[in-house]
Amino acid sequence: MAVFESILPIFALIVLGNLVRRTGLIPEADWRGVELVCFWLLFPALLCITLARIDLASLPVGPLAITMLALTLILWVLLFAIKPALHAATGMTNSQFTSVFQAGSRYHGFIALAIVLKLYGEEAAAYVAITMAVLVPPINVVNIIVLATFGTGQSPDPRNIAKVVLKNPIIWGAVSGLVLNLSGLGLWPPLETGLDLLGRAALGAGLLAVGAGLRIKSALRPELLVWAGTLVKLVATPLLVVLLSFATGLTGLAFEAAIITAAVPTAMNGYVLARTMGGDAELYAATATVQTALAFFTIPAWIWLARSLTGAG
Amino acid sequence: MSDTIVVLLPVFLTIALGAVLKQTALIRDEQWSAIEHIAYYVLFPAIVTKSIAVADFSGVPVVRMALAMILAILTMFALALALRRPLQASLGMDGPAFSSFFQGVTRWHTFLALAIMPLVFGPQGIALAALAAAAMIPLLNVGAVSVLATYAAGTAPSLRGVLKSLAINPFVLSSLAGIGLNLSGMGLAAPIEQTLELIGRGALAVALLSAGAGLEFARLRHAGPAVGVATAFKLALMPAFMWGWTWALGVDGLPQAVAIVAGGVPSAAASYILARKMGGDAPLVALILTAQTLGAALTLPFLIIFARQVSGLP
Repeated sequence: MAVFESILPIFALIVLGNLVRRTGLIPEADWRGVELVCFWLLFPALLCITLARIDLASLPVGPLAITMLALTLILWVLLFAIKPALHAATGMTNSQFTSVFQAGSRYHGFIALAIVLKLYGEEAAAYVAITMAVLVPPINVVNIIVLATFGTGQSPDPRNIAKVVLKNPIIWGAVSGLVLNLSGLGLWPPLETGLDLLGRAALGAGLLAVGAGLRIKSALRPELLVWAGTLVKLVATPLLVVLLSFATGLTGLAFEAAIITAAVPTAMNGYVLARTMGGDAELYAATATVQTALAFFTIPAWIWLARSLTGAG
Repeated sequence: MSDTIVVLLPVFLTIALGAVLKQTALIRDEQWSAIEHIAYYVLFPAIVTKSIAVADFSGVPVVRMALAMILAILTMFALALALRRPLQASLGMDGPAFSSFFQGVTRWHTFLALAIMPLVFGPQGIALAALAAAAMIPLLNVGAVSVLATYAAGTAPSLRGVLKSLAINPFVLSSLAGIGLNLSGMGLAAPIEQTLELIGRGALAVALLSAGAGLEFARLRHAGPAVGVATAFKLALMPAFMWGWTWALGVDGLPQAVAIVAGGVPSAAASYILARKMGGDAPLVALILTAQTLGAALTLPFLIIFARQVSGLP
């Protein structure tokens, strides 16, 4: 119950973002501006400052990275394994498959950061930040390849794929934070306060933007494919982390942070990719919406389970 | 001194970042206005409500502080109107230009003021500044609208229109909500307080970025003497009036320091929109805002030190 209450503000903000969009106070297309500021500036600042300030040597970075990379690989295989069955059951097109794939394998790292910061503070946030640094490049590359292969849009030039990943500000934020940390340069105090100011804004503005991006209407009558993407994301993914952690020896706070990272809904940037590369953008939006709504109940359940497993009560 | 600069530097770095981001054209103009709208309608009301609702105002001369700020504004109104003819003649301003001058010397950048306060004066500082906003905004808006109606080309909105726009002003509404919560002793339930806190955290950086995006450096070369005079009036004279009236009414300590610093921030970004809507000289407003923001980067550190000293803060 306490967990419910403590993640309530995060979901309240998402709901608020959706309500504000519905008021029409801000033209729909202009919400994109908020997303862009978050994506290019606020999120990278938050990652940078989170990674710059922690004591990396004391963190079990290895087991965490291995667990999350293995998780991602297994998810990809799983999603391809259920493709024939889904096709047989629903007549799923290839373009629809890309959206199931994206919705099943992407994750909204900043919802995870918001929850973890709220529940455990900065050290746990560093685990999420490290996970993002490790997973963002492979997840983006593979999703682009899957869309290029199965989407109805044009295939991108391989050099463009590299460019998209290299241009990703999330990577820049994470890398600059790690460089500041490892080089021992540290942060000049005014710069640190400035980054802190931006990073704090990331959660508030980012969660509102998540809410504004939800499509309640298209999620009201979810088809089977929506449920497939939702089950993979909200149930199978955290479950896999539990199983993998036995093998990799991931325990304690890092384990709990990994469970939360695995249990959050998919990220909205998959929607933009689906639209530009011929995926089923509507299916993606519906899945993301259902996932976000259900995550309010599944995330506390997973946190409770993780705590029972680590014996943290 | 160096402490104050270290505290203020992030504020101006973030503003500069907003200006740079604007140049990159990564975010289109209308998208910036969406960002500003969200700050105005959602983020700031959250922080204003929360900081007033949970603040402890016992022993704080809230009413006298508000009164002193209102009197300082009225003094500036009177000065600007009394000097209208000589100012117009010597600075070469027509009616619409004078209305822009008037807005430039009287109004305040609420976003900027509220962003600075917690960094400089802590949570109590932002609560007091939020209260000051509730006291000053109605008067400032009525003053600006009246002057625009009288001296610029625009038609005056009806009294009802002015009252209506004040009644739906998010700063005024959220201050009232905070005051209600505070006085009723209800306070805020923990999840609500945390939600507002989370939203409010978004406010400061977003506001500073959009303040930066609104700056127009390119046209600063064409700035006439009116811009310089408006900048000096706002950054130096207004805080002096705040100091004088808080002193006269016996307000000292943090409330006095907040009033003085609140007087010394640049004019409101909304002045530009109002000028465009009511036939004021909108480009002049943009120039005054840009010059005042640049100027404030230099004057605010001194003003903060001055405010701390005269108000007897450590």
